[in-house]
Amino acid sequence: MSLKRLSLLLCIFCLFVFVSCTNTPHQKRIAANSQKTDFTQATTRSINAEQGRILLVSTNRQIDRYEAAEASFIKTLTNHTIHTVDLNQNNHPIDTLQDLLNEEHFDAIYCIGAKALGSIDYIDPDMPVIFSSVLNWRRFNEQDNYNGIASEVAPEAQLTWFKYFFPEIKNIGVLYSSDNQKRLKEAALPAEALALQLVTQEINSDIQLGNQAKDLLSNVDALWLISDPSVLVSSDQAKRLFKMAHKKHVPIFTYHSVFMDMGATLSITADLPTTGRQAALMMKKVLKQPDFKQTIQFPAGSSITLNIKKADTYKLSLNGDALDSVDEIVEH
Amino acid sequence: MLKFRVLLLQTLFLFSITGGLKHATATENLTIYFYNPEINITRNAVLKNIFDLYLEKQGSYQFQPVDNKVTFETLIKTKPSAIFMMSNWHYIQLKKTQILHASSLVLRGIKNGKDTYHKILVGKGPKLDLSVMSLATSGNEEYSRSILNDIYSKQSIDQFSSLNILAVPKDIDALMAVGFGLADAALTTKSSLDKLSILHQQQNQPLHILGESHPLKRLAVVFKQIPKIEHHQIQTILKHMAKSKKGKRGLNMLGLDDWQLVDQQLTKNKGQSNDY
Repeated sequence: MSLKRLSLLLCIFCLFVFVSCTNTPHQKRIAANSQKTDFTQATTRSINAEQGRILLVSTNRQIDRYEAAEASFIKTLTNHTIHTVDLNQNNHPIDTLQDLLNEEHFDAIYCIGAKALGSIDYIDPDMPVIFSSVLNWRRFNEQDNYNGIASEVAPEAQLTWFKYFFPEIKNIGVLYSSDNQKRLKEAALPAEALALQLVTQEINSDIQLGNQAKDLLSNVDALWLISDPSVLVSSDQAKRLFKMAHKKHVPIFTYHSVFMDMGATLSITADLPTTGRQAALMMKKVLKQPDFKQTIQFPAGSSITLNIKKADTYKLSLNGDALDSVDEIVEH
Repeated sequence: MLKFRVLLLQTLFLFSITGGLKHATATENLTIYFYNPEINITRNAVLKNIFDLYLEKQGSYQFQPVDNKVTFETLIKTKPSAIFMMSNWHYIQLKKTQILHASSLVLRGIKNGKDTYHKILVGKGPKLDLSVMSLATSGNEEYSRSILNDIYSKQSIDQFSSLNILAVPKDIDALMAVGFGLADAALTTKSSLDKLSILHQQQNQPLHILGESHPLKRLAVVFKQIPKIEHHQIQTILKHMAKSKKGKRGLNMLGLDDWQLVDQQLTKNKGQSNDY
């Protein structure tokens, strides 16, 4: 056989083998990306206008947590016309939105994230506004045409999950500033119903935090880290707090999974697809009755991350049944 | 000389990819595919992680959750040899078709020695307007509606046509959604209500059980054309999950505490009239 023919045969064989090798992974990719395809179809679908026109403003569609809420919102409202605006890298969001609102008619607005809501709030349109994924959501509670979903799971629900995972926990420490005093008082009653005692320590300055945290950690079974900017002044301060707790073998339960990397044992975070569905149901209500004022809802779905190694290290009694509720397990 | 170099390069390329092919064939795992409309797909990653941690110690096995029904059914049709874990509701649906003709039901999930559980409809008040209520449920819409139809089997299906379904990740989320006034009713399990009742007396006081489903069979494990020796091996591996810490963790993730071997003869004799 000539060298040229052998070379040609080799090329054909290589191609055949290459195609064979790529076949199986390709099939797997179909399964893994099926949700993504659903999302693309949902956003590009031409929806008839029977039920109302909605303006959806996203702070940044590239961010997974915003995209998750948007996708489930659109999927729930299949019979509505939804116009989506992405404010990512938009340096003049107010102008963009004002122009759009002048040009087109909308019945209601859904804002995802603080930039979206802040821009719409500045324009102050005369129509219902629904929002989610906004940290300072309490600010909008008093505004008549604003309805939304809080960014963190209800304190009562967080406490219930803590008790469900670790039934033997009795005393839970909380560091707080005066801003959160009222909320902690409200949480004391549901805590009592769960046979939990909240051992609270007010922090007046970050200089005091070290000593006050040290004292508190000596008297509690776990530390509940709440969203309080005076306690979590900086990531260094948060890291110091986690270090102190670890030294005393006190687990930290928290409202956000971001703290799992710092050493939290359990986090109860809002499930964002559920948040999007809640916003969609709220939207249905306000479209039927535009002046309908709903109270701001807490997220109905939870996403739970558990560091099982920390639970073992601290010799916590973990309820095995609770594992069927875990979304993510950390083992380091 | 140039031609020889080209040939040499092509040969090296061929070796590199045939090596890859050989590797792929040698490590071809027996896959356990999983799809359950009662479990939120966001938990698929953690399920895979926990099951693979157990299975990798046992041999060439892997766990692969699937996020939708169509893909799962396509896999049952196209995979020549594999294991499929599914809800009994789905299993009964497939039994009515030809999809499972080459497969057999081998294991059934159990919890506290029982292979059945009940779904209940829970509301804040003793009565609800079923046509307009909002329902929190951890199952997907198709599954949830079929359970509602079972609970209200004597009434018209049309009454649920305007139902607002709020899909939540977990049964306990559904209950808490009702407790906190985020939904009018929850479709959940009796055991979840019991768990929450023990934990949180105050939360459950206003909750009423409005209806209860027939007993529902737990998870079904179906083997498709697994060679006899391997069939016995993987069956034993799954049965032994309850005896190891990692295996038990996997079972707990599915809301189970063990597997039970299915007595085919017994299944045939008893029939499956009440199985959902």
